Amino acid sequence: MKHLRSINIVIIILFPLILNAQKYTINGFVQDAASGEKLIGASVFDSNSGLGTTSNEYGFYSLTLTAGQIDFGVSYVGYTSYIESIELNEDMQIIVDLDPSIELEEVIVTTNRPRDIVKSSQMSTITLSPKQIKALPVFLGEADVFKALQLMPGVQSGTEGTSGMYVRGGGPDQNLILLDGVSIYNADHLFGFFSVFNPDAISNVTLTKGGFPARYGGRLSSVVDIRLKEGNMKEFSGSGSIGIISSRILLEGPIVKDKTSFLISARRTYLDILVRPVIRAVNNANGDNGTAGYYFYDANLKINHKFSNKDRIFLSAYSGRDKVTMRNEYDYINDDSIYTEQSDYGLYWGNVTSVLRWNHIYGNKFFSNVSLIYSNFKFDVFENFYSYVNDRKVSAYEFEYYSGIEDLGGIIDFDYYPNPNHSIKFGGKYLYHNFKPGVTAFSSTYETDSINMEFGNEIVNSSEFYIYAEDNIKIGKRLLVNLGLHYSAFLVQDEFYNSLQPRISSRFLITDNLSIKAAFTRMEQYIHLLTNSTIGLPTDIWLPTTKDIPPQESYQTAIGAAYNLNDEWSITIEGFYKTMSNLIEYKEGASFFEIGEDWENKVEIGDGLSYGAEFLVRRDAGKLTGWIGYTLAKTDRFFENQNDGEPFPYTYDRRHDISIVAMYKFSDRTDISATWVYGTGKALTLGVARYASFQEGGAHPFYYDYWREVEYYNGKNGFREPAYHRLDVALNRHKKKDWGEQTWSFGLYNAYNHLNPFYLYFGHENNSRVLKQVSIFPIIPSVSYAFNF
Amino acid sequence: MKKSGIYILTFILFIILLNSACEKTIEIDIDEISPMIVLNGLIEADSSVVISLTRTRHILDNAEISTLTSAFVELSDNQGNSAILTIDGSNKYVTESFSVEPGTEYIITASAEGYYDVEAVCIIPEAVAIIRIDTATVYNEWNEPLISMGIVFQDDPSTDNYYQLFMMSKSYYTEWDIVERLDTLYIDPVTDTVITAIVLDTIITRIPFYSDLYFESEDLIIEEEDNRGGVIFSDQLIQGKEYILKGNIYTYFSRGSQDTTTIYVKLHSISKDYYEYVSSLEKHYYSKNDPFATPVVVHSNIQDGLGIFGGRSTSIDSIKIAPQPYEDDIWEIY
Repeated sequence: MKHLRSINIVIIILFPLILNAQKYTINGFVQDAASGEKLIGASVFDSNSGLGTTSNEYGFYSLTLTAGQIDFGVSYVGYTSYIESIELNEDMQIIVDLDPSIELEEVIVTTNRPRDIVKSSQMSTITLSPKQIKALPVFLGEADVFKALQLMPGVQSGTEGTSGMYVRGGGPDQNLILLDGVSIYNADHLFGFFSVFNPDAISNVTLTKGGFPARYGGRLSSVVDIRLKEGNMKEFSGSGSIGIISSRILLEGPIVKDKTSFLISARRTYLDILVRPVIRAVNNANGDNGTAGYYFYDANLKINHKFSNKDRIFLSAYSGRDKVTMRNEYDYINDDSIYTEQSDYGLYWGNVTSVLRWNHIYGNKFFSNVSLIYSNFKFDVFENFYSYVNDRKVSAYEFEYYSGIEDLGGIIDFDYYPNPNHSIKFGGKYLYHNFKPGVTAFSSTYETDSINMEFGNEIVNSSEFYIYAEDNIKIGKRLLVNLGLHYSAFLVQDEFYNSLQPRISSRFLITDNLSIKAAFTRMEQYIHLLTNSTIGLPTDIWLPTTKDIPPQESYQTAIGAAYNLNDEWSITIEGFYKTMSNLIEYKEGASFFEIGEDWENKVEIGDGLSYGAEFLVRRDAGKLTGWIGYTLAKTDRFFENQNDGEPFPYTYDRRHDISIVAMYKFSDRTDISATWVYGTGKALTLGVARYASFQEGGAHPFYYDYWREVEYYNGKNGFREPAYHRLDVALNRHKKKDWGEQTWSFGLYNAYNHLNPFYLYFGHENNSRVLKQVSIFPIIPSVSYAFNF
Repeated sequence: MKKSGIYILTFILFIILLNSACEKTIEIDIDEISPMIVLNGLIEADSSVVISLTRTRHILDNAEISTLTSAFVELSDNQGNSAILTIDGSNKYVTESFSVEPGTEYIITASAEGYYDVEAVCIIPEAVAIIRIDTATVYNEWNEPLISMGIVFQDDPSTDNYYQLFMMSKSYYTEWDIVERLDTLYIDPVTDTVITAIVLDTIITRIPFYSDLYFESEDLIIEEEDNRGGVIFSDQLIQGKEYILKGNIYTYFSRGSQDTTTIYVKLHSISKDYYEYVSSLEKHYYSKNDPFATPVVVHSNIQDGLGIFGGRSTSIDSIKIAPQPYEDDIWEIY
């Protein structure tokens, strides 16, 4: 009897193992049948048991199921679903090639399927495809990732026309912008009117506003994870467009079919080329040889090599630059000598990033990703003067001011799928930062004498690293919890900062079509962006946490619900409450170009609070697709030495923010789209009174009764600009050609020509003082021609 | 023409017709705030006390800013002395019967019907002597001559000091005046008649004139330039040290002068409130003209009002520049 009892106990203990012994794992990749491009977030499931998983950022999946007959299925929006009955009696690897959908042919724009939104534990997340981005009406014919994201609730745009993002009351520095996993510090072209990402090269964009999984860290407000295409493994293909201000091209194809592929894309503006002859002609008429110009370009290169179904490497590089230049040259004759004066002025800024990545599958449940990353952002202003006498250089004056940040580091991530109830991710990242917070180099040469000087803020080196672990846990049939822990540390100037950040987000399924969600996250940010302008200028400077400037920190709580009306319509509602501390701002009137003082003495440290509710109704299938988003929110800042120590509205505090996006497909040849946005006016400080300044008499008698006018402000950001609203429309005409497809796109930005405020100032009209509004974007038509083959 | 060509032409026309005049007047409710007294004054040892009293106006009020002429203004010190200021012909409140001394605290009060009473306090700082002025002639990149100056002074280590430096030149210009004069040509010896004629005399007058000079300096201690070409700075970086403040001045003012030009260097020790006022005032104007900059509040030490009540003491030194004929770029400083 005693022995029997012992056997029973052993059986009970070993029961799970016995059960485990009856399970097998299917792993593999989900990819586009035509191009071999990996599909991120595809649903992989057994329709018999209802168990399933999703493919990760590299298209990998692993699903462990009980042995026996299974109906193995894979689905991805816009593709024909894959279903196959399998007798599961061993571990197996299945590479699933999905064909572009025929059953959803009428769908021109697809996003997260409603069912995914309800069932995912992740909240506050938006995924966009390049197809979506390109289908939206665009400014000057340039499709833009950030402008598409600005149409989502919780994401606000900054100054009109710019691509700056302000997520749930956070600043533009609080967005972690990742391009293939590498941070991009300045994502703006043309002073923020366009972002630096070429939509043709993008595979997928995911924005996370809250409920951050533990794998992300280093910023307070959002993560914009942009994945580039890997390059077509099957055949050579390309796409491109010709627009009003720029053109772009993308070429991709196999180097060795199904083994090695490449992708190369480039975009450049040509305003400088078009305008340069005009400027030169005008200057020549004035006797000058001067010229001026502006351009930006960006280029991506990606090479992808598959050693086997378990090993793959990627090399990805990006380079982008904006440059403004002015050049002037003139000659004069004196005493039979020819004197030449030559001057160059300009500024440029840009990013270079590169990543070398190795994906490896250990066994059939373990996926690893190891990356070596490099990034460099530099902003540079230069001014050079040269004098020549009879072509002999007699003097030179060269001035340069630059700032930037350079990163070098590595990332290691593991995905482990022990069973369908757990999906575990863990890993770490190390970054060595080299901050150059504003350095001035000056050299002057006269004949044989020369001076060389370099001064400015001290270059700061620092190390940042984090480790994390998270598990997506299914508890019963209704509860799904993503539980994680993120530990980060920052070493700078012998000061060691560290932070343990709990992350939790959960979903409770009330019915198959209705779930409620909640999330709590703590985030820590070790870098700051110092800006004294309300538009995104490259002069904004990235600065590290230092001994005297602590890291930024936030706590965010969010709750929400997701509801599917049917397979086409879904509704999500979310509320959030976010506190932010150790935010920095310039002290009033301080400027970075003042070199007399260390930057740390020019900034103030304060706090922020943001809370609100976001509503999103969307239709993801059918001839008519789109969404209606509404945000009701309030954001304040608190700085001890500003506004008499009282809280004041953040500049981008926007009580109401509405966006309506609609896309309608008439036929295979014609589709239209329209967006309408409305937002409460920007908060601003306006003078309420004016008075005379003290003016001491100078040397000239007329100075004695001269005074200047001072404006008196009654509270910071106490006024609102007029509300912002705008309608954009676009018409796309597609045509199949022997060589591929062409698309003509016609657009109207600000279709009903509403003059939105760019800035306000006090002026005069009919001998009265009035408040004037300057608007820079009236109705603007655009046309572009796109092709792909 | 193909349809696509027509589309392109239509859009090009659209672009050409694009209206870029995008400015309009708008209305925003700007609450009326109660008008406040604006008191401005800078008092100095051995100088008359002059106070300006005006009022605030609503930001959209187009009326001129005018003096409050019926106010009661009183100045007192911490020694128990006081004086009532009276309004003079230029609508300033003045007193000449009050002696202002360095190191003394002064209180000014002003009241006028319909306004809150205002009050402000300031202490006159001690003057800091200019030890010497070093000069040299230098040339800029266009080979123009400049006077390089090094103003040497000793900062007082026992206090926080704030400074304002001004330079001013005294040159002369020449006025020619033609006057008629009846002159005797000769006396006829026969008739004894005096023969006269009107002759023209030229009277040359040398009239002094003064110019504020722009002190061009990249000295790291300088906080701000003011609108008269001077600079302000504090002793934050030079606490208690002997310091040479370096900079250049252009010399256009004396070109062609037939007389010696005097350059006066005034080193003012200023009260902290006045320093913050001038510093914030200049930043206020920079930010006011930049629609994207954060507005800067101008510092005020006037309780229940606006403006500045500051104090200062001054040290003066000078250098002289020899007469400079035209087309001569050689400068002699002595």
